[in-house]
This record gives sequence, structure tokens and C-alpha cells, in this order.
Amino acid sequence: MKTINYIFRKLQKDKVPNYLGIAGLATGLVCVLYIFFWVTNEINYDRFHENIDEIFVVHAILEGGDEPIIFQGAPPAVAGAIENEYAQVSKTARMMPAFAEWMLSHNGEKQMRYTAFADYSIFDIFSFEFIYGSPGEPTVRNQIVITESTSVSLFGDKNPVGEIINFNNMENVVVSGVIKDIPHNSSIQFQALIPLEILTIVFDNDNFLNTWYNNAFMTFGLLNDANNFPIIDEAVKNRIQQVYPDSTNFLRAYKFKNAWLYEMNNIRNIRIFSFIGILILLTAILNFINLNTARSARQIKENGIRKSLGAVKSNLVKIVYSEISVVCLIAFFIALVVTIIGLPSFNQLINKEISITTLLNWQPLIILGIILVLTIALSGLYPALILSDYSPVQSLRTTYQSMKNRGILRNTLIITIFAMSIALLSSTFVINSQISHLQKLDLGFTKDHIVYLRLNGQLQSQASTLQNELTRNPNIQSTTILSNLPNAIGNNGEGWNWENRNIEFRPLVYNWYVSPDLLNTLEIELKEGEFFRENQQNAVVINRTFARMIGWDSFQGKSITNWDNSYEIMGVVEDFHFNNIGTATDPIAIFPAARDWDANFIAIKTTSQNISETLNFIREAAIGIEPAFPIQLSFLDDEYKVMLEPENNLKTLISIFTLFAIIVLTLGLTGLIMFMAEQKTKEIGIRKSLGEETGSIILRLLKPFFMAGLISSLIAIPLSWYAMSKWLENYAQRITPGADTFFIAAISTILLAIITVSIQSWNAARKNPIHALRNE
Amino acid sequence: MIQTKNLTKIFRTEEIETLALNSVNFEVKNGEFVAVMGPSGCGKSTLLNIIGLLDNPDEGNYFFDGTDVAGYRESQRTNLRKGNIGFVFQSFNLIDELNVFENVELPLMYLKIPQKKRKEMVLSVLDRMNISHRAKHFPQQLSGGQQQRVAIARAVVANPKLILADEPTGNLDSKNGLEVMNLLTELNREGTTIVMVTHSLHDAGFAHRTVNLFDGQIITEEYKKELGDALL
Repeated sequence: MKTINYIFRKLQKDKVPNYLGIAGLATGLVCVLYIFFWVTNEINYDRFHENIDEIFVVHAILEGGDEPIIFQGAPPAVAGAIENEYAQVSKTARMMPAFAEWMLSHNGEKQMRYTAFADYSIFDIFSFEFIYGSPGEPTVRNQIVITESTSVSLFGDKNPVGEIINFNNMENVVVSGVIKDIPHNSSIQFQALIPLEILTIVFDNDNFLNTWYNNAFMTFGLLNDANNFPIIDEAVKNRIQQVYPDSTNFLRAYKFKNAWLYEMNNIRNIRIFSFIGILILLTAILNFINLNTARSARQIKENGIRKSLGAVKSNLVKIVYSEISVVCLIAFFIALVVTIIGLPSFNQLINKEISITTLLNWQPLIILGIILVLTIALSGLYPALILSDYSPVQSLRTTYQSMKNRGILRNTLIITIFAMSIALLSSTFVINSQISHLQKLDLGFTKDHIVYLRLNGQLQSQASTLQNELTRNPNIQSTTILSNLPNAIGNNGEGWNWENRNIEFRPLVYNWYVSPDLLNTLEIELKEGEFFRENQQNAVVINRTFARMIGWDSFQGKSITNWDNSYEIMGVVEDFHFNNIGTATDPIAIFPAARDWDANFIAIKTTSQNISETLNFIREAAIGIEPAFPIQLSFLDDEYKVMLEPENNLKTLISIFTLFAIIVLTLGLTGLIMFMAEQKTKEIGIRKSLGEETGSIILRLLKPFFMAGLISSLIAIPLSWYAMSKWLENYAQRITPGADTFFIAAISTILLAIITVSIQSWNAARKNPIHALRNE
Repeated sequence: MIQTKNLTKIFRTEEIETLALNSVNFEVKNGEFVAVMGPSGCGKSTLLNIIGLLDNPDEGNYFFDGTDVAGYRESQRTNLRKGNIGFVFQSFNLIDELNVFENVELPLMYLKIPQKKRKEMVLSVLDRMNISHRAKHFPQQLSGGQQQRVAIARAVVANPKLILADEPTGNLDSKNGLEVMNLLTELNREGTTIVMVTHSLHDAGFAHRTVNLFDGQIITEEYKKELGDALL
């Protein structure tokens, strides 16, 4: 208790440096805690599944083209085969992920819900918690498992097991169970799940679930022992080739627990941010030590007194560490409170649902404890070991001036803090320009003022009726029917052949089914020939990448074949960026949308006038044809915003952490210049009494900071340039960061520092010299 | 109690060597009150620091109670110092963040004396120094004279054999200075050996013997008249 009293009296005494120190440390810790929350959340992805260690995933890699193409799924026959053939595999399940919303209706209540299709064994493999009912009977096709929120939206609070839901105006299914809403940090997401067998009806194909091609099925397996993974990994590789020896479609297995971090490469950002977190924590600690040195002359003297009274080094170290621990605990507590209060806003900024309960596990708590202990240990290192090492005679005699060696330490600290801030700021600049580059990238088609509507029920067969209806509105310029939106063309295949094709060359080509008005609506440029007309048979238009692969001089009127079908090339369109933004373009073949199931979307180009009226008009026209489905209108532009979400989150995170680093820098510099001014009070007094101008004194105080800024720029600029170039390598469409980006970051940081320092220097420099001299 | 033989201390910086003590032979007997005088920089404080086991000599021997301690390591010196030697400084050297009671208590804590016993000892010494009413006050709330009484209380609380005082009245007015000198004299009468560095002839008058130091060497020693007569 006595020690605590003593520590609080000491804190009271040096209020400013102490408060600055605590504030800086707390700021650094808030930042570290957010990074920690975020990293813990990422690492905890999928960890709620009890069998996480025994689950594996099988997927396909197609190696016929220039580059191997990685699929998330595998052919549907794979799962059953490995379950039968390997005793090590106790269960398998296939799933068509919930890519799209399907209509679920009950008693007139209609809801569009992301619906997945899977074997019911999926519930034996994964741990989705049932509130009501069960997965259902494996042999029954027309049943459904829904999540809690889906259940509430259709049935209210009652137990819906046994109730009938109409699926997409096609089939009635019975609710067999309700599961808790799937946690945000699950890589498997759906709002409803229906047995895979229903797809044979949807696609009107009895053989749909038995083929050794069609890599559309996520394939999961459960091992009886996690150690058996290598056996399965080896066994699946050439399983397709046992059936089709010529297939270039190979299989690969990975452990499900590695899915989020390694297969989806989220570990990269975890590493980046952990590194940033450690740097910011070190910066805050360095800053704290730095402010403590402001007190160290007095500390040394106190140590001297205590030593003369019989204290040994361990007594002094104990005192220093008690003091530091109290300060660190205060900072840690403040940081924890601030972090928890700010967590909802943080979640909103990065679009996550990180909960405080993430921390309530022994691993995060231990790591948090280690962070605290490390902070205390490092912060106390200098005062405890160096300051208590002075002999009592030295200690009692020591003044500020006699401790020159501390200058080196202090300069190192300033340079480190500066370099950190410059590096983070320039990275923020580079990431920002790369993201706006991607946002403004010429996609090769227009996505502005394009409204789209998913076509359900009657709208699929009567798509052209809807088109005709819509063109009556003067604010609608053009419409086109699409099998997929250009950001999600999932349909692709091999089997292409043409004259003089290298036999080994078997590229995977995307298939897109559209109506003839595609070019007008999306403004895709035609390079050669013409586009196909209404109801034209066996016609295809290819993009330039595909044309380049074929390698002819001209294409119009020539034929290519896909498996047994021959197609006449009508024309070649300029490459446009479909699916991913920023990667290289893939080959694509564009066909006339002739069948009902090709008509999945209608894209509508509107003028910028009377948008809400136009939207109402579209809605009414669609309801007029198909009243059974709710009509959801969306803008194509928004789809692209969603696609850039990971980059935008990265940008937000880096910006937040840069802000924190700069706050730490500013607090640190303020404390430091106050200390330096105090230390130089006498010098300033003498100089002023001899006639030096205030401005000149300020410049003298600024000089070391300016030099530190320059040196840290020399360190930070090449390092961040290297790191950012590495990061940019992930994008085919990327900016080349100019030297100016880095210089602007460096200059802004130095300017900020100079402003901070100037304010304090001004206070010191304009004091009456008498006060300064009387101080001694 | 104290005997030095050819005690030498040299301070070195990059450019100059200063001979602070030059073969000093100095002796203090049990119960003596010795004043050390001399101009600034003559080595008074250096001598006091070595005698007080705060510093080691470069050459020569230092016998403390008959044991040569000149080559002691710091930990050994600390152990010997604890409870045996008390210090009184010109600038009091109280710890600002500790109140009077806590400042006086410090040496007892380092001697690991139990809390109850500590309290007794501290209160008794504060009483004796006539400052017990100030026990809860902090140094900056006290006058210079009161601060020095606290410092003396802290020096004697562990009943040391030897008190080393470095210009104990240097920062005090004459009234407070006199009070401090009376306290030291009283302690000496009760058996504590005192070595005091001072600039003041008046203060030196309280000592049995005055040693004059010049350029690191003892040049004269004089005994107080009546005592000198008695010893003779």
C-alpha cells in the first residue's frame, strides 16, 4: 500500500510527462488490442467445428491450359468414391455453396435467402448447432434446414419443424430442423440448406450428381484419425484419371482447418498486421521509455539516496518495476476500456462482427498477459538496469549534463518512431492509390447506371417479353439478358478445338450466354466482325484473349468446335474484366441465350434521370409477368464495390493504425521537446541574455528533430517501397508508386513533428531569461 | 574505529587527471567528533565518501573497525554500511514523494526490521528530534531546519556507530544551523562517532578535533583547546 501511495505521489509530481507517457502507451495498446482482436478473429475462423482437425477438403486443379486453374470444388462422383474406397474416411459430403438467393415462401410470406445444397451428412461433419429438429432423413429429398433468422422471418418465434416451405415456386419442402445462425467467422455460410438431390430437378438432369466432371461441388470428408490425412492426400490426386485417363483435371486435398488462413491466403494480412502491431507496441514502449528519461536525473539521485541508506540494486529495481507496472496497468486498463467501447465502430469500419468474447479463451488471454508483461519488462529495462547501476557517489553527483550517453538512446528512439510513422503513412498512400486505381480501372464495359434483376419463375421463359415492356420507358436505353453477371461468370469448360491446335493445349474457357443487345447495354467494344442476332444457331463471339490463344489472323466466319458441337465465330470483342478486377483476362466464349435457364439476369441501362420512377417502372413490369417472386433491383456498380471489400478493409485498417502511430509520435515528441527545453532552460537563458532572438532559439531546438526526420526517411522510404512493391505484385493491374508518394509521406510526418515541436519550443524560447537563470 | 593508510583517489576524465586524495593518513577513534575543513575541491567530500563506504580508494588501506575494506565490492560495502553508518547531507537529500515518517523509515526497511518495530523506532527518533508533529508532512512542506532534522533523524534511526555529515548547516540560517549542531553534539555525547565536513569555523568549533585538507593532503590537525588539554 505504501509503495502504491508513493507511486501515485510520483505520478502526480511529473504530471505532463507521465500523462503523455500513459496516453502514448494507451494509444499504442489500443492499436495492438484492435490488431489482436482482428487477428484472433481471423485465426478463429471455422474453429467452432468440433471435428476441425479431422475434416479435409478435396478440390480440382485443371492443368490443360497455360496456367493451372484452381477450383474450389470437385466433380460430384469424387465424394462417394473416396468414402467407399478408404476406410480412413468415415463421412463425406458435397455442397453447392449458397451463391444465390432463392425464394422461400410460407403462407404468403416470401423471403429471398442464400440457399446451399448439400448432402445431409454435412451435419455429421460440421458442428452447426440445432435449435429445433434434426438434419432430417438422408433418403428424403424434399426437406430443408433453415437458420434461426430465416425461421423467424417466415414463422415468427414458433418451432417450424414439420411446416412446409415452398422453394422458389418449384417444390414444397418440409422443415426438418433449425440451426443457430452461422457465426460470422465461418467460411461456410448459408441461410437455408436443401438436399443436393433437388438440383436434379432444378437442372432437369438425372445424372447431375454422378459425373466425374463439373468441378462445382465443394467436397468435404471426415477422417477417422487426423494423422491419416497424407494417405487421402496421396490417394485423391489421380482419382479422376482412373476413370478418364486423358483428363487434365487433377484432385488435391487440404485440411479444412487451413482453409481460411492458408488456402484463401488470409495469413498474409495477419502477418502484415501482426508485424505492424509489434512495431506500434515497440514504438509506444520506446516513447514511454523516452519520456521516462526526462525523469531519470531525479531518479538517479533518488537511487543514490536510497543506496546511501543501504538499498541494494534489487531494492531499486523492485521500486522501478512497481512504478512501471502501475503505469502500464493504468495504460492497459484505459486501452482495454477504449478498445471495448470502440469495438462496434471498429467492426462497422471493417465490416466484421468481432465480439469481446473472442478474448475469453485461455490462448488469447495468455497472449494478452504476455503483451502486458512484455510491455512492463521492456518499459522498465532502462530505468531499472541502467539507472540503478550508478554507484551512489555518481548518483548523488549526477546532473543532466553528465549523462551524455542518453542522447544516443534518445536519438535512436526518435528515429525509430519517425521511421515507423513514415513507413505506415507511405504504405497508406500506396494502398489508397492502388484501390482507387482498381475502382477507376477501365473494365472494358460500363457498370454505371446499370440496374440488374435476377430472373425467377416466369421471368426466365418470358425474358424477351420483359425486355420489350421495358424499352417502352424513355429512361431505359437498352437491356440485355445474361446467364451470369459479369463479375460472377462461373460457367467454364474445356473441350475446345480448332484448326492447328497444339494437342497438349487444352485451355479452360468461360461460357457466357447473353442476348444480342449485350454490346449496346454494357458498351463492350467489338474488334472484328459482328455480334450474333436473335435466335441465331451455333454462333459464338470470343474475346481477344481467346482469339490470341487460337492465333489466327482473322476470325469472322471461321469455325471452332466444343466437344462435338461446331460454332461459327461471328466476331471478336475487346477484352473486358469479368470476375476478378485486377487480374489478367481469361478466355471467354459468348453464346446466344436460347434456353430458359440461360436467362438468369436482365441488365438494364438507364439514363441518370428519374431513377426512382424508372426503378418503379421496372418493378411493376416484372411483377406483371411474375407476381410470385419478390423483385429485387440492384446496381451493378455495387457488386464491384463488394468485390473490392477486402482491399477497402485493408485500407481502413492501415489508415486506422497509421493514425494511431502518428498520435504516438506526436505525444512522444511533445514530451520529448518539453524535456529538452527544460534541460536547456539555462542555456536558453544565457543565450537570450546575450541577445539571441526567439526565432533563432526555436530553430536550434528544431534542428535535431529535423535531422532525425531526415535520417528516418532514409531508412523508412526504401523499406516501405520494397514492402509495397511486394504487395502490389498480387495485382496484374497495378500502379507503380512514384517517389513522390514516399516523399510526401516523409515530408508530412516531418512537418507534423516540426509543428508539434515548434509550439513547445516557442513556449520555452520566449520565457524571460531571468526566470531561466534563477532556476539554477 | 577508522584508520586510513596512504589513501589515494584519482579522478580521470579524457584529458585530465585530478589527484583528489594524496596518501591521506587519517584516524578517528570511537566516540570522537572530527571536523574536516578546507577550500573547495581539496578532497573533503571524496574523503567522506570513502570513509562512508560510498566509494573505493584507488590506493592505500582503509580499516573500518580493524578490517581492511578498501577493496570491498559494492555489495559488501552496502552490507557494512547498513546500520553502521548514517549520512547527513548539505542538501538534505530527502525523497520528495515520501513523507517524513516514510523517509526516516527507509534505512530500517533495508535492514529488514519488522514493521511494528520500525514504527516504534521511527516515532521515538522523530520525538527526539522534536518533529513528530510533522510525521505526515512531505519534505517540501517543511522549513530547511526541519528538513535537516528529518535527515538527521533518518541518519540515526538505525543507531549507527558513525555519522558522516557533509556540510550539514550549509543550506541553513544561523538559528537552524545552531540547532542542527546542538543535535549532532548531543548524539556525539551519547556515544556516536561523527565526522563532519564543513566550511564554517563556527561549526568546526563543536568538534573535538579539526583536520585541514589542502590539495588532497592533510596539512594540519588541531585539537579543541579544553579537550586537547584533557587528552594531554
